[in-house]
Amino acid sequence: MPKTCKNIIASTLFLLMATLLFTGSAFANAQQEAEQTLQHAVDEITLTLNNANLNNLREDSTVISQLEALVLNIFSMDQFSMRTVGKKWKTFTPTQKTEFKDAFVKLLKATYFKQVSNYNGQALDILGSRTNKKGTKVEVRTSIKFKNEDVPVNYRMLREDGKWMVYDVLVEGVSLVKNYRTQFKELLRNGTPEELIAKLQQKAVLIRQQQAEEAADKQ
Amino acid sequence: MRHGFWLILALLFFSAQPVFADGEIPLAMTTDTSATAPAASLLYSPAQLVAENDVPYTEGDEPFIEDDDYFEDSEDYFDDSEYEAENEAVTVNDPFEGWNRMWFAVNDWIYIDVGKPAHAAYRIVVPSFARTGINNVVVNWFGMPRRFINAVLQAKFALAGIELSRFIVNTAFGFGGLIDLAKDLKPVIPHTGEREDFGQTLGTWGIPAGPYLVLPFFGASNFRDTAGLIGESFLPPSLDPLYWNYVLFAGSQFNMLDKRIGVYENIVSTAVEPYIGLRNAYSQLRKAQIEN
Repeated sequence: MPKTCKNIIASTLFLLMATLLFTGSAFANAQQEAEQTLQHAVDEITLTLNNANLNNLREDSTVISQLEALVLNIFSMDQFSMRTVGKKWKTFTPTQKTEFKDAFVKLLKATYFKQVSNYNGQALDILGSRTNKKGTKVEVRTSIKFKNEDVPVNYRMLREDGKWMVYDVLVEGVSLVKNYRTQFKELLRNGTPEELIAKLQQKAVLIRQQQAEEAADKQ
Repeated sequence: MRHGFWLILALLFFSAQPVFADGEIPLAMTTDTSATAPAASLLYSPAQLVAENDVPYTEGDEPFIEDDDYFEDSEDYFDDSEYEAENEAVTVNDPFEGWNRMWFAVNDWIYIDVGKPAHAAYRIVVPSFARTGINNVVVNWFGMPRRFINAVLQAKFALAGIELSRFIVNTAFGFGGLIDLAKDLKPVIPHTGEREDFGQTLGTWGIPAGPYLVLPFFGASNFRDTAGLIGESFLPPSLDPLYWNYVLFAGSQFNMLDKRIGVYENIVSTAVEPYIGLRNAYSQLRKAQIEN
């Protein structure tokens, strides 16, 4: 075999292996980074929860606003809103987009802040992750111990402004984005964006009323 | 009880009804020997569903294929085909929406206004450990054979083995199942706590979910899972006389009602459109359970 031929083969092989190595490590990096970012955010939230007094929580308590900031730091509300609305998001005006996001955050806050007082040292275990071919999105599989049962919770993440952010949460395989998307689709089929925003705001008010009633019942 | 069989058959038949929705009669039912195979496949094929729902996908790029590029993304921000496509597949099939919404409202009243206060009173009388014990016994003696059989029917022999060994451990060392000892033991093969039922078995066998159906008391279901529910009641063990089965079932369900209501409330209270939220959550949950 001529020497040049050998050289060509050797260099192609080298290139091939280098690409394989490079792409392989690129994926591993994406997964590792996403997992680390998530773990870090969870650690911070856990620390805040452990240090706070969780009795007599109110929606305007400092702990809640701290938690809100921490959650919004890992959870991309832009991506979440965009994906829950779907294609019609393009028809929203910039003001409507901001209003929608605000209303959505308020609704999520109103529904989930009560869960905070139930916090009892539950830990989140990261089990592993998978990524798409380009390495732009990562799904981190985790397990949360809730009332003696392991609940599988998967976080789908993508890189936004150089930081890994969660854009969808799947609890036992049920995707939040998908779930909201079907609902919003139904509401947007006949309604306008304003009506949808109004509906979100109403629901938040309704939940606050219910919680106030429940609190009054207990006393 | 004999009629149960025919009911299951009817439900399974009707769950496959959209097959005939386009007016094409399947080959086996025509006498016309010159008939050619229908253009649309007889079961829910991805392409057919997409076509039905006017999603602008051509047959070439099927959005349903789930492999490694599960969430492949293109330049377009909104090309979340996995979301779009699957949603289309799970939302449309609700021809009985009027009936379903009616029972959804009735069930909501039953759960929240009747069940919840009743269970609060029950909790005062029966302490937590007793409720867990009752649940463990029922899950051990009446749940295990069904889960075991369904795991075998789905060819999940490892899971069937886990179920069997859990049963043996709990029965022998957990006071006949009163204590769920096996929960804290690590099996050789990781056990994710999945529970197989007959509806999932039917799903694994390729039977489509069929129309969404809200059952009185039971809540969200579909034709296939309703058939599974009825079919499962024939599986052993069975008490004698028969009505004790129903008493036991109702009792065990009520015993753990707070758990069920908790899940229900979580879905409904976070939803903007609760009926659709629950319908979608149910479809997604069943799909995930069948897939794993």
